[in-house]
Amino acid sequence: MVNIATLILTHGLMVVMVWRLVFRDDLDSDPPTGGEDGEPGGA
Amino acid sequence: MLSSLFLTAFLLIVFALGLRRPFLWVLVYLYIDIVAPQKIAWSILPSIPVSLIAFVLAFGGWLAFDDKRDSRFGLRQFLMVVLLGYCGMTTILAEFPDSAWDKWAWVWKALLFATFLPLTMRTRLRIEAVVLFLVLSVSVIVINGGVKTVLGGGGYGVLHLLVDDNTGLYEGSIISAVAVSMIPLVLWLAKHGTIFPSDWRVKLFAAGLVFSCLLIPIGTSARTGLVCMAVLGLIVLLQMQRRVLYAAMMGLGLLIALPFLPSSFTDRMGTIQNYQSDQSASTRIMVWKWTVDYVIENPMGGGFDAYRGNSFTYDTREVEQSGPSTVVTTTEITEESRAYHSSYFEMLGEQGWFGLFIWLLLQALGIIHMQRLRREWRRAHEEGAPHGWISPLAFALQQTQIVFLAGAAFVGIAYQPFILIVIGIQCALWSYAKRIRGEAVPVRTALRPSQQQGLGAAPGAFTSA
Repeated sequence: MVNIATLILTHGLMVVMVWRLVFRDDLDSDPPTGGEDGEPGGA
Repeated sequence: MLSSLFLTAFLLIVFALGLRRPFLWVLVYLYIDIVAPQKIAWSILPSIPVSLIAFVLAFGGWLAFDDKRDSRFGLRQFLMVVLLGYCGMTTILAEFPDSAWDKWAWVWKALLFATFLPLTMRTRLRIEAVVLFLVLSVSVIVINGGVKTVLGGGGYGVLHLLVDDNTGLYEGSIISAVAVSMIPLVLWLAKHGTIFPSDWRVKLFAAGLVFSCLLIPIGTSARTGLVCMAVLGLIVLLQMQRRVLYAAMMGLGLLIALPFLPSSFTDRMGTIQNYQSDQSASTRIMVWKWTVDYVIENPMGGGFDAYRGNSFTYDTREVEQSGPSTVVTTTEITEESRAYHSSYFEMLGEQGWFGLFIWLLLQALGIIHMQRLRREWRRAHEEGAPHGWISPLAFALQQTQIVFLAGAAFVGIAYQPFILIVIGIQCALWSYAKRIRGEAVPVRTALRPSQQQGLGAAPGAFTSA
């Protein structure tokens, strides 16, 4: 039970993470300006 | 069976998403290297060469689709190639060829991947993605161990971490060192992450994860973990302004926590002081002495697993107080083929003086480079400039490395993929910061001296270029 719960939690987070990365333009090239927390073009 | 299906589905999803973003295949390989899902999903994955598929896709994807203009090959990557070549040579000449080739089978992949990884980490987001995927991958084992420790499943050699296997990161001392050394990276992600931006959920998860990391040495009763915790505590204290106050608070916290610690943990930690009566600790000292003697005779080292040739006899002393008299019991122990129990002696015995020198240089340069980055980009961090994340990440990577190196003194983890990936991230951050600074230079040279003074000396001041 603990094993399954751990696998679901951590792998679920990894799937959400890669899903978000797929739609981020700054994965392949840094934005000229900004792209940081709280700035336009960031998360 | 359920976990086999689950992990296979997970890998298929990430492999498929990699068709849109090939960089994701690099993350898949990292995950496989750390978690070894073949060990968990024993009914499906072992029949598929997932590690090989992921490496071919990661390398092929980079070669075919990635922009290589910003990729740099640095000094430390060169050192890893030299170490790889040297390990290959000592493997060919190894004293115990069978076990040497077995170890070579995973070491060369770990070294090659760590050398290749920085080439792919060209952007800020990619650097963050690798750090986050590394942390989440280790979390698979750490959260599992943390929860089981809370539920009372701990004890030396007793805590079962997902699989009934005692190798790689699933070994108690190794996961203890890795879990504690990972804490600075978790804290950096919680504060500077953009994939999961800092909010109450991220902070809650990070707090839970740090707690799990601290529980691992307790659950595994591994003394290495206690050493790592002490070193991390010391580094944290040194950064604080009110050191005495925080040291007192830490001491008080420890006193309060002590009664709640399982006796298996406190009993085992007690053997650190009384090492003469402890066979495991005495063995280490004997193996280390044997290694030095061995390398004096064989300066090039004996190749992987050269420790198999050792044999020694020693006495353990146990002192018991019986009323007014003291009873000393001496027991003679003979041991053979005992592992190094130290990364430094592992490198020395297996790769000789040259191998140890390259490995130490690789580590020392990491600490120096991260210190430089931390200092040079501090102002950007303090001023909230766009590249203000570099200095804290450099510091976190430095702390991770120092804590790991402290633990490495008591367990053979010189080629652990975790630390090699951390080195890869350091290389990437170093060349990224150099590139950003280089791009900023034309702005500085285009300005008059009076304007340059206004901008200050911090690299972060030029980051808009």
